[in-house]
Amino acid sequence: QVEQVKLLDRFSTSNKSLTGTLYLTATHLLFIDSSQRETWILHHHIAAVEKLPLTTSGCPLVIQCKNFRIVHFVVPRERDCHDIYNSLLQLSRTAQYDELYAFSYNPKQNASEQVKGWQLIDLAEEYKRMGVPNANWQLSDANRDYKICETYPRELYVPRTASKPIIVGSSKFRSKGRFPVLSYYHKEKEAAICRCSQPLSGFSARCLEDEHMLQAISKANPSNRFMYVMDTRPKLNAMANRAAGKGYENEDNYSNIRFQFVGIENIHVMRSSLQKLLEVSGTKGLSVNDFLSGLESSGWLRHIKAVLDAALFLVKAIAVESASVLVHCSDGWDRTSQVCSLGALLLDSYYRTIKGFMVLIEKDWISFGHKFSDRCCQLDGDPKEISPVFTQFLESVWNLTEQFPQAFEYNEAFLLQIHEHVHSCQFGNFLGNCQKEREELKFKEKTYSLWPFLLDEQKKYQNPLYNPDFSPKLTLLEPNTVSFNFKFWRNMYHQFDRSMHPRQSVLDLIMNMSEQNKQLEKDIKELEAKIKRRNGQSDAVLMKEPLHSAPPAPMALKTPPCFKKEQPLMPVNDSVRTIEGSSTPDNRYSEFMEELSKAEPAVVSLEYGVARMTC
Amino acid sequence: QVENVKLLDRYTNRKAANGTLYLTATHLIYVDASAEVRKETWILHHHIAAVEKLPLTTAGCPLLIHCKNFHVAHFVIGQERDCHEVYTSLLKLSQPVKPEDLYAFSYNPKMSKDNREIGWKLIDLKVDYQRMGIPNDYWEITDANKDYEVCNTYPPEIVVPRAANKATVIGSSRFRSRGRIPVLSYLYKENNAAICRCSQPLSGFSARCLEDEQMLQAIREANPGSPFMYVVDTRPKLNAMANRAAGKGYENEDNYDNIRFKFIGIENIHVMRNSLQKLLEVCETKSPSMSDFLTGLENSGWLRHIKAVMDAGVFLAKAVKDEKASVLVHCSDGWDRTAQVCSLAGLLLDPFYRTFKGFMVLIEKEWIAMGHKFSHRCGHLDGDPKEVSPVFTQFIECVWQLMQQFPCTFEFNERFLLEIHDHVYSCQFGNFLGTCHKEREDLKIFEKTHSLWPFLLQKKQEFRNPLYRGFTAYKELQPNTLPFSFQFWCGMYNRFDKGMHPKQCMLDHLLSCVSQKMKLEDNASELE
Repeated sequence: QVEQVKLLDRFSTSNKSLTGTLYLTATHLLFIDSSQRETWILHHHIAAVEKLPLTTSGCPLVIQCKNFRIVHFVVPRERDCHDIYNSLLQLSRTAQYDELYAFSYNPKQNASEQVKGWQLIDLAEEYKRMGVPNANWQLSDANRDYKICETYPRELYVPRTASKPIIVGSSKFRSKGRFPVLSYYHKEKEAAICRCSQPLSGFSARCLEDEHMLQAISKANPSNRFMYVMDTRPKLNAMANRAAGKGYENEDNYSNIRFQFVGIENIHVMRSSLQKLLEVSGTKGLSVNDFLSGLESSGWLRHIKAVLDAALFLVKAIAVESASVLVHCSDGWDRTSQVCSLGALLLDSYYRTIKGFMVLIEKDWISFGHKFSDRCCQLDGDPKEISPVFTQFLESVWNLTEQFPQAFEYNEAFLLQIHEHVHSCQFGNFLGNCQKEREELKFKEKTYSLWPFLLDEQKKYQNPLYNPDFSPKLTLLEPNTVSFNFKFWRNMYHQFDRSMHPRQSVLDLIMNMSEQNKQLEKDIKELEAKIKRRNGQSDAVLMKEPLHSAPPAPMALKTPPCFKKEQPLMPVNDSVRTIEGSSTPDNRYSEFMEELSKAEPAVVSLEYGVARMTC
Repeated sequence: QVENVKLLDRYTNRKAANGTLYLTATHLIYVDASAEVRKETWILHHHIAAVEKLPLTTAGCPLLIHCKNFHVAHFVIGQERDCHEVYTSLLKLSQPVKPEDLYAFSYNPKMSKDNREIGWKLIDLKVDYQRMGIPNDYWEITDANKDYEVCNTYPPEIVVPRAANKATVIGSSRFRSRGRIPVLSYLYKENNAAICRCSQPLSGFSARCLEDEQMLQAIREANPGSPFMYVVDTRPKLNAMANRAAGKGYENEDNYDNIRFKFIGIENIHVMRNSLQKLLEVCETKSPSMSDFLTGLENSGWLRHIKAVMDAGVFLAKAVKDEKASVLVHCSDGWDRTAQVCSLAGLLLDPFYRTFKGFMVLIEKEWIAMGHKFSHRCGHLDGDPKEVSPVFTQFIECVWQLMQQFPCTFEFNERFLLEIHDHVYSCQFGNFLGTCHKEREDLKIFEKTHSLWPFLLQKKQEFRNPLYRGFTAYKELQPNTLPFSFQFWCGMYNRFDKGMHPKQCMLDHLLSCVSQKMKLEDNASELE
């Protein structure tokens, strides 16, 4: 406990600061200012602590968090500051899993609730929803004991024609044994998204089983003869990997594949890109030009665009060409997860619901072994393994919600909350690097699942504009990926800088409005029912009167909540003509047409006599 | 009429639409024949900024039309002769020489004479001055400029301090560029601090004028709450200093009592024109990469200029509200940057200007009446291209940026801004014709043309902001002017590129939501 600590605002030019007391608990750093407002910082969220040179007012301490909060304390005494600094360093770096917050976190749930919470998301159920297993795809028990691939889940779906020897053979030809398996099955088109890691092809090696495997996948799709193989890496990187005995598929060896590079950069590029972005957004007194050029040189939005472009390519292959797609990168757990999950999100409206999004994360990120522990630095480890791959995924989703404000059941707060907990280590879901590790550490018994907690607070995460009705008709979202459409995500990177946000929150207002509408509708229904009842009692002559007075009501009820009568995504051909362009306050088109048709076929001479054209 | 014309989409490589091009007296009309739906594109001749013939291709002769409302149409005409004829006709039609040729003089919305007159009377600036509490003990409305004797670019009625007598007014007018003396623009009733505007003084290196000094003193003394006043020169210091060599310049703090002088540094009309040009070039690149877009945006400097204007507006509002000091604003002639800054400050200080009616009053007051040279700045007539500048566009964009930060404080929505912007260039209504009040009287605008405002009010439903919380919900606004707060306005500069916008329009949805609610409420009350 240190008193008389000052908290500085990052951006305000006036050097106003809050004075308060700093407490260090086992899990949190707590700052209480003089007006009793509390700022809690979880130790696991701390990415870096920095002691700045001593100033006259005290010893400045800057804490950078993984959720992009930056706090700037000034501690009056240097010794105190040094103590805090050392303890924070120790507390923020955990060496072992069982020291993480999740193992001490106790939300007062009993054991059965805990089990139920973990069962909330059932992937077998999810595959059933997609329509798998079916005539072409089956559940394989090959990896039941993690013998073939340690980083995959136990239950994997593969083409029926892929026998066990093929699976084993293929896994030996793939980096880390991550052989091609099903990620998403598109029922209507019978096309599949499959994922794997890079082949160990080197310059010329080939593997018959792997070739069979790909053939099996393409045959499992009766509607298209060929399949796409997407390597999400830049071509140069993939070629360099050949020297290390890895690489990419040779189109000559595999029959009927179309090979495509997509060019998403690797985790190291992404890490330094984010670093640059944070430097820009953290600068005090930034000019517009500095901001824009900083945004550009960070390349962050370029990378986000690349990820979305890749997903769009994937989606088009499936929806337009009905072709199956096999996606991989190097190990198939970073870029592959991004692209597969975004692809599924664009294809299937289920993933745009709150529950569906949880399923999507469980499936493509958690179960397929995105290395959350390494990428988010949950334990003290190699800083080169850290990378904002999952953050990019969330940002891509946010960009989609900006383009399709009615297509998602969840709102921005939901994405931010998930991002928060990926780093918080408060729940077991994101701990560890793969399912095997999670089972060995008995996470399911010792920690809690995040999802039931989010569902309990569902109201906070609902998008008031969500319109579930157009989704089934128009399942595919086709985002526009022109550069103009990508924006700096202020609420993510400046989530905690209060002064930075729009001064007014629209969300609550819209929420109220839709609530009111629902209430009104209910009232009307009740009133109508009342009138009916009263009419039933009175005689037939009187009955006509009130019915007359109430005709607008049934009409309004036929077009129930405004959420439902929204037009679909594409302009429909319901209007006879659409006009765009310069102002045409009155529709004088017909007049012009008359004028013009009279003049035909001779020369059209116009008022000013300048325009003369032959037909 | 030319058939078999193709209209190319700017961004996608989709198949081009095929249709017919019609040239009428006022519009260029393109009718798409290939689509099932009858799709028309109307381009007003006055909206055309430039017509360009590109080199002949195999498909035909391409014709590129740039509009002032940022619409770019790319036609491909089958025969070169046709193309050439369209080209020359458009060139002539888009640049009328005489004001009488403008659309407003031929536009006939079938409205009775009485209605037209009522329309012109809809906005009465006197009522707005009354609303501010003028005339009062310190300020009066004078007719000193009745016959445009004091200043021919000011309106006949101006508001000056009571303490300034006629001799002071006349004397001061001789010392100000084009006679644009300091007059009141906005009075903040709560503390008597005023925003005044004028043009630069003819001070040169050492000249001074007693009457002008008295005038400033009168303004300062009209606000007893503050011992000093600000004089804000919105130009960069260098520009102001250069003007001294031409016998103009800025106020010398030693000659005027208790003034605080400040430069703000908004660039001049030529810089702004070039900046917009660069911005549009970025918009026109076909699928620019992320880096190209951001670099282009940065190089254009457009958002930097928007921020400068906004910063100046915020400075004014703060001086008036927090420091209770009056402010006198000028630039060179006091009709471009001064209009921007004064109107923005009014918007920040007074919730009335954030309503439909109030916004119209604001534009009439600060822009139209005080002589922003719409005709020159918008290039209504064939004239000096160096006089064209997007000054008003910048003001509209600033308002839009404010809307992004304060989505619940404006009664109107983005479409209202775009509609006004369209009509500033369309010359369909008389409001924005000419350069000043005198010229509009000479052109008999008020007898021969219609006012835009009643037409906009008719379409109020479409322009409403569904999130508006009402007049009393918010008073002064304090926008954040960090660079993060300024966004590229896709809705303006890429408005006609349909593929560019979010696929779902929140505004439409909310509007229908609100009307739904009203309908339901009606029903409910009826049933009860």
